[in-house]
Amino acid sequence: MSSTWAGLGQVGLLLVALAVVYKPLGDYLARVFTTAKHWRVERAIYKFVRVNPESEQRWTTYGYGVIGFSLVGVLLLYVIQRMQTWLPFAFGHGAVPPNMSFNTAISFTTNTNWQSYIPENVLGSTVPMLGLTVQNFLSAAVGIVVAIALIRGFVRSQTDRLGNLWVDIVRCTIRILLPLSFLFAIVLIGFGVVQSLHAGTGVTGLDGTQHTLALAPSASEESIKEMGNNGGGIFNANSAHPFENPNSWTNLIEIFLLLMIPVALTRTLGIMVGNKKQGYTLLSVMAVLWGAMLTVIWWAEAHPVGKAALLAGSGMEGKETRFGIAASSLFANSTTSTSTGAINAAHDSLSGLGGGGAMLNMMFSEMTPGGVGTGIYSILVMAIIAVFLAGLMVGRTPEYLGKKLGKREVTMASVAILAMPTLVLVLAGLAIALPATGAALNNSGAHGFSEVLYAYTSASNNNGSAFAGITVTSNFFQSTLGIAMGFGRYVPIVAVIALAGALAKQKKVPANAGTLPTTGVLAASMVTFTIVLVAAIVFIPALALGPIAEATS
Amino acid sequence: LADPLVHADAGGVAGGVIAGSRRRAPHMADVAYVALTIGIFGLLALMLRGLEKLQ
Repeated sequence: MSSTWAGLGQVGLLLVALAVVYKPLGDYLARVFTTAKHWRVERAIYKFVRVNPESEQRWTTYGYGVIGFSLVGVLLLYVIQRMQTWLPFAFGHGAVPPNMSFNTAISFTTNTNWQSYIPENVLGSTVPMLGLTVQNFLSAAVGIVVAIALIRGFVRSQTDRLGNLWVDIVRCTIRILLPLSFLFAIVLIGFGVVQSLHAGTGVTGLDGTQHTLALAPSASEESIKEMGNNGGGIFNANSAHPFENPNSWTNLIEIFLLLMIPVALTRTLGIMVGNKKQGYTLLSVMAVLWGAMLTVIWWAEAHPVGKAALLAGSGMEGKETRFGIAASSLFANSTTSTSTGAINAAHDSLSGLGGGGAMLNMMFSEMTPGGVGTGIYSILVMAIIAVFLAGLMVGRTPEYLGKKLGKREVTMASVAILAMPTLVLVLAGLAIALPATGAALNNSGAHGFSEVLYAYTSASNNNGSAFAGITVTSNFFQSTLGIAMGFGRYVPIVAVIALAGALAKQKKVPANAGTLPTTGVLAASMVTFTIVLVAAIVFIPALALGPIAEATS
Repeated sequence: LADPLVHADAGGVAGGVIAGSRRRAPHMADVAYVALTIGIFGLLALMLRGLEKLQ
């Protein structure tokens, strides 16, 4: 079988697996957030944290809750890293330096999992288990509950209540993320992913030299890492490391995991708003852009440029031979079109066009299908902009899912959309302007520019994948990337919760002859066009200086 | 498995553990980064308050 057919087979298997879980998982997610029943363990947690699960919160309380909860998460994670010396299973590692602790704390709390450190060199097992993996669950839960709050904004009428943040987070963690991550950790162990609490094991190399191979509880970390769209590896090589991702089956399972919840949430949207076609329409937008970008990246990697690659017959630099071009492209496309950021190949070694494709996925604001929760709320915000623009053009009333789109709604949608590009362009521009940045780069010219642009795009989108080739341990990079992650995550979240509050206050408007249809091919094309247009207007000049210049040189 | 950054930190050069003792003193950098964190979330809270007034 040719590698192309093998790759197409993997894509086919992936799509079949996603189709199989789409309905049951989407329906289950909707049930979790709409049922009035509380589990016994949940009641115990509410009692312990003194929360009344029956009381609903105003959108402002919900928003302050998200901000406060995340602030506490960042500070706790900071302290845990700084206290590593005294923690068990530290394996001799000392405290993590302050700038790295700040960057890592904000990175894992924002679901970014950008790693400015080498895990096996800096961390023992306790910081990942007690701090980082806890945030893998909680940050994913925060993304999902914000999406649910926005959906409730569409569903509810004439109320200022969006639900109870603490109930939503507890249910999301207990009923969705914990059981699924446990199940898939077992599956991954079955397929050969390492699960160990030992620091390392000694091996003798072919030349007779003794080496120590670091070990880790990799499988349990891997399942939530992918399913929660976190992406932070327990090993530096991330999913290119054979202990995290040993073979084609684990590779396919990991790609499936990182797409599973974002895809199923479109079904959840359809169920909750009482019109499944709304979910299918947004799913089709996600699928078209995901498929288009996969084609671009795969084609670019299969048609390498440069003497070495042409002599070798393929662009395998930076890729694992056990995965090859197709599975590496599929992973790169899926990890950047979600907010995962895990990698199974070195993105710095992608071709100009392939690397540009990965960057463009993030510049679409990661909604194809996007992160867990963040994908569906981002595409809903983009749909609001699309409907508003189309309504203005054809003279129809701008309404979406039964709610009128006025000045307030569009202002908040605009804030949510423009936060990320502002952070990327301002901070990347600032970094490029500093003389010290040149010394931090492994490459000059267009590729060097791409390394900086990729770093801030990844941080501001809470993706976390790295182009590498850039040393980010300086105070400037640690701090500005941390700021990008913080504002890139929470400015859109605050705007989305405010948008949900504004929508929930409105009375539901029944569709009439003047209502623009928001399902079907025309509506999907409208949203797709708006996503591409916004990314193009904002980012084409920057892309021209980096990946486009590299691809055309 | 050692990392030079961590060794520097443990030796008291980069902050954290005071050389020759196991007692930890908060470094100025700790104060700065905690302040930066609180500043980021403070601005977000202000933004939420601003949006509340907008409604």
